[in-house]
Amino acid sequence: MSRISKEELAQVIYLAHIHVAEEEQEQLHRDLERLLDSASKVQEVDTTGVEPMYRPIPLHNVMRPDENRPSLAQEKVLQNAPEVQDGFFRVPRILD
Amino acid sequence: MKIHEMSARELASALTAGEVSAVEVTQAFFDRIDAVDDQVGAYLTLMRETALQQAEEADARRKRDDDVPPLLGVPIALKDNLCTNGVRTTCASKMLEQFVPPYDATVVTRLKEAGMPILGKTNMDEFALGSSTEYSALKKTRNPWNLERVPGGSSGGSAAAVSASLAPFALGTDTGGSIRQPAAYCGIVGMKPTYGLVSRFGLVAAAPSLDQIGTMTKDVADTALLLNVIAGYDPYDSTSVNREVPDYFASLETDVSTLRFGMPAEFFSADIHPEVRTAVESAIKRLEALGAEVVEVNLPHSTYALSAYYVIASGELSSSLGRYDGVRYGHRADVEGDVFTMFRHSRSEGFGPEVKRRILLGTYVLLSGNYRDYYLQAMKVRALIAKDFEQAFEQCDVIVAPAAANVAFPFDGVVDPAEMHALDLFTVPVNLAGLPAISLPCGLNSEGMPIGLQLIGPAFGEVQLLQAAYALEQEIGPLPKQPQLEVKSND
Repeated sequence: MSRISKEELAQVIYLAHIHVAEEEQEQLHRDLERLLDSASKVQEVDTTGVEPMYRPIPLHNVMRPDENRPSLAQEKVLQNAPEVQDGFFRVPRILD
Repeated sequence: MKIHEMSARELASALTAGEVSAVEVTQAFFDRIDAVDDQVGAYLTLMRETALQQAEEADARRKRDDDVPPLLGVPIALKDNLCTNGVRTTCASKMLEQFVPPYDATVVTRLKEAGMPILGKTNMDEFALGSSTEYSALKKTRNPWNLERVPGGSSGGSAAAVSASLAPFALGTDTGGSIRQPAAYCGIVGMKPTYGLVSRFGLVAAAPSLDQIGTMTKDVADTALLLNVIAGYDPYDSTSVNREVPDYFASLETDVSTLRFGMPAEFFSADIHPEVRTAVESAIKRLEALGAEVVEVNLPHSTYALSAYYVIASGELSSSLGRYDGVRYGHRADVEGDVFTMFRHSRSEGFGPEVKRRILLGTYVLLSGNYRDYYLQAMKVRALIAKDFEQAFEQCDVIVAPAAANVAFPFDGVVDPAEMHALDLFTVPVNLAGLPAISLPCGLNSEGMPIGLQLIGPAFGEVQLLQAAYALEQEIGPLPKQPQLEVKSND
């Protein structure tokens, strides 16, 4: 049984912003089917009335005091950027 | 005994007694690395200059101050997903091959404050996804016990480094067993602390509700010493828990007959290799011989732990790795076109096949039409798994189980991704519940490969967990041999 259609696979690839070459798609589709077979086992459990556990410890909004404190220098922030211009991150054209 | 063969505790005593200097100790480890790491491949980056400088400072501090930290001058290795200021931190990925963090992870700051020289950064499965270190995009790491076998993963470089005496101890990270399984495969002690005990600030996130930094050491005493350094509240990590941290080393000794051990029926009825079963069961018999009570406990939902884990971990991962877009840091593809084309190609070139599979799986389970059936359902199953543990700990103090169903496997021995995931059967339930657990060697199989046993404690039960592990380690004694590596001669 197919759990994930070709269209869904295309949608997931699109949303994840990953380029997948045409010739790799078939193998990837098979791998994902296998992984989903195992993942879908959670659906066998009766969870009526069970609250989901988002994290192991109970946490409320954790805030720090709204006070100025030192932050990284601009050159440190930019040091790993593939392309920098005038103190900004530079990216390819966004709008035509 | 050679310097590199000594445990951290032995090195600390020798340093305190003035029998050796921190510079000599640090240099001895680099000599050892130069002699054998081309066979093992544990390290991705060596930090010779800064480590020797830190060692010099440690020696000066010892001369100057009366009261010095217990591990002053004892060097350490770090898994390469822990940020080190000014030293590249790759996560063994093409994506971060050139990434140089502008700050230290909190655990790194703590090690530096304790005067511990950092030897280098160790190999791992890319972004900590994997169980063999074969998914590293940068290097192959071999198991020091048998160079044709994997070291386990994802903290395989740290495990191999400690096992081959390329570092006295190391830090690793554990999202679903990534400290405990490689520790078991390499015959060392690996501990994953309770979620929230150790700050994750500066750890490159994989699955933030599961990730935890922990220790990889030659013995349990070293685990306690190292945990003393890294445990504690950190305001930079919003999931760090603010509570008093006991002295784990000072509280190691206990009368083990006061402890009650639980054997989960579901774990022991799983498909475990007969030699692993025999070794673990004989360790349990030793506990009984010491007067400890052993009872059967049940973790009825643990059979669903693997599927819940892969849904939750992949969902969180797809979100955590969304930040790699080729803009602020990381690989950028050299392609024509708009910014979205650049995103897609950067991610496609920068991530390896397993990372892509897991991001896509994670994206799928988070789709609005699938969220309820997969992600939300997995988190409900997670709640049931945590409740199972709570109920089990009403009947026992510590749970005992295998760390892995078998010993380390040969390279390319597990090629199916789903089969690779299934290796984490005994370790993932612990991460889902956020509990502390430790794996320690309990013997060698007939091929001479180490077998690991796992002890699991209740949340923040590190003291009793380490007491149990320490007592059991004393009882089992050292492994009958250590890995034998050919040492290159100097001429």
